[in-house]
Amino acid sequence: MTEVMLTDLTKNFPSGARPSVDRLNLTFTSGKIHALLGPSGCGKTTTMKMIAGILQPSAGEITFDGASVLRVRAERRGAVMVFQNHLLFPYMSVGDNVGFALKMRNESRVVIRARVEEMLELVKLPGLADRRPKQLSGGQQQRVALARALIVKPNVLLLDEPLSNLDAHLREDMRELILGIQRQLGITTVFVTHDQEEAVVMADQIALMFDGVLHQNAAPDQFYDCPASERVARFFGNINVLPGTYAGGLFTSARGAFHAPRAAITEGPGSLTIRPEAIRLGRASAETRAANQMDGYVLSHIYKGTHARYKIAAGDLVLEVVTAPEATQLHGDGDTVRLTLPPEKLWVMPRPA
Amino acid sequence: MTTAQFLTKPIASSRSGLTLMGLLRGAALVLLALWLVGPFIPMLVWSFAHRWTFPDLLPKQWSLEAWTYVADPAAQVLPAILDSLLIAVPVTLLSAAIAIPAGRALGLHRFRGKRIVEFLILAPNIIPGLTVALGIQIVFINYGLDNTIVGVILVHLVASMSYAVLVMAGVFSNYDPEAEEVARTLGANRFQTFLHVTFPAILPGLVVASLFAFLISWDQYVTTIIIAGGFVKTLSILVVAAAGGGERAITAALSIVFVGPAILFLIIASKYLTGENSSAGGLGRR
Repeated sequence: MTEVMLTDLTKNFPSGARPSVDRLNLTFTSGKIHALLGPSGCGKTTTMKMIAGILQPSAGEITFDGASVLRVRAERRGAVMVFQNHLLFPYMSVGDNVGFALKMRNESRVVIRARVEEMLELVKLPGLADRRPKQLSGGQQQRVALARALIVKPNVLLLDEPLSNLDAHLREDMRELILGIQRQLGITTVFVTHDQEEAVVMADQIALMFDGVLHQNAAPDQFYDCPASERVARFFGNINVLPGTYAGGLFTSARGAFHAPRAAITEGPGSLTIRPEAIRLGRASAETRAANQMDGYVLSHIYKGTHARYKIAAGDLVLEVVTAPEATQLHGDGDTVRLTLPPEKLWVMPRPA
Repeated sequence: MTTAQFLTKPIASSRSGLTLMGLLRGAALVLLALWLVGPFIPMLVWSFAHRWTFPDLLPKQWSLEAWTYVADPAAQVLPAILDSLLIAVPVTLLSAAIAIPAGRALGLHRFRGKRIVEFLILAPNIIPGLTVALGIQIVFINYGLDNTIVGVILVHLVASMSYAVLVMAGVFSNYDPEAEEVARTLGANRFQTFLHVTFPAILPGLVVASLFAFLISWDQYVTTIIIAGGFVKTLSILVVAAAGGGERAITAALSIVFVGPAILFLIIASKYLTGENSSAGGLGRR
């Protein structure tokens, strides 16, 4: 149970023009699962390695439960990393891999043997201690790597894209396993990923980074309901963004005015966003448009069984709409439609001038 | 790409019977074996020959006198072997000790002036050994290193080390240090990490590098003569002296003794040369 706090954490590499990690302020709450999310090269792995003690920060502070760990070497820090590849030491048996950390502490063979079997049971691979890593499947190897990390009862568990290398059907198993163990042991867990879906399904809290800078740190649903910026919204797959200006709860754009009580700004230039499934799709009508409505036509649509996904053109905008199950096949390509954007589902983000 | 690859791959993949490629591969293997073993046959014959003149396919008279000479303590063969080992073994160990960090730096990191460093490491092997040794000798006289075993070791090291460094640079360019980082976070200190993680991973390549270093030192003649001529008598000096004296049978017998340790080393190392391990560097199978 360790709270990890990063204060103005910065890392400059000699080769880079801008910092790889730039004044990062983050708290990883004790016993929770946190995701460090971002495209490759955003500094998330660098951050993880600084927490582990593999890289020294250029500036800033890292504390575990309030005490600085900058002078604590990697092997004593108790922040254990599990990588998605190069998982296991190939020339050791599975048991020797899992028992590696205890061997480094000069524990007795009997103790190691018992603890190894205990850890293999925890990751649901009992009795495989004498196998070679090569004899195991990718998913099994990852579980062994997890067991090898957990045997030291780490303060912090650091995972590198824990699900990315696995087949779809194994992902669910691995997710369940990691979540189950994490809850059972209560270890503060941080994982890095470029996959927002992986972050959403696994994390209690997501920190999204671009170019070494933190853009939003929030619970997963917040990234859909109130993204901090257009870039954040688009990273989470939401293309429904309208530019305009905001004042007094009213958002004015080229496509009309919208009542939008929820906003990150009080007034000025902003971007309006709404989740694809929050938009209501109706037939075009001769009636005058009410507030928070706009007209468009269907560019394309995909029927997905439980729902349908439409691309709607409205002026120079393209909006994405996901319909409810009962309204899957109402509209064909080229049909004129009327969109209703419920005020309580709208969110106004700041827009850089 | 390499001999080791060439030797191991066809056998594994030619289970499709007698195809044209299979036949060509077989023929190539036989040729290669002949090319490697061939030169030893006349040498072996020569070492037992008393008289062997031009048109004869085999000597008219056989004799053991060359081998008797080699075995005679007066011929100083055993001390020469010991001298050669006394030089080649430290040269091998020092080369390996230098090649691990140097190869790591060259193979794993990018830095300013890397090409220049690579060139400077190779430079003593581009310039003729005679020139290099003559230059070094003048320096060694100043430090009292001429005519000493240590001096010979140092001059051999120049040649051996550069090959070893290049092999290890190849090994480390295929090497991923993340396994070390994992070991560190699991509580291994730097020494433990090297011993349990780095060393087993680079071992096959290290054996190849050591093999090169050993053979290059074992083979040195000119540099040994220049630095310690008359004081340090290695086996290669003995071989060249016999050849210069026109004693063909003795030269042949000494030559066979001369390749002995090299072949022994090769046999010990062969496990790593053909092994499945992926980090065998220049000789790896990836």
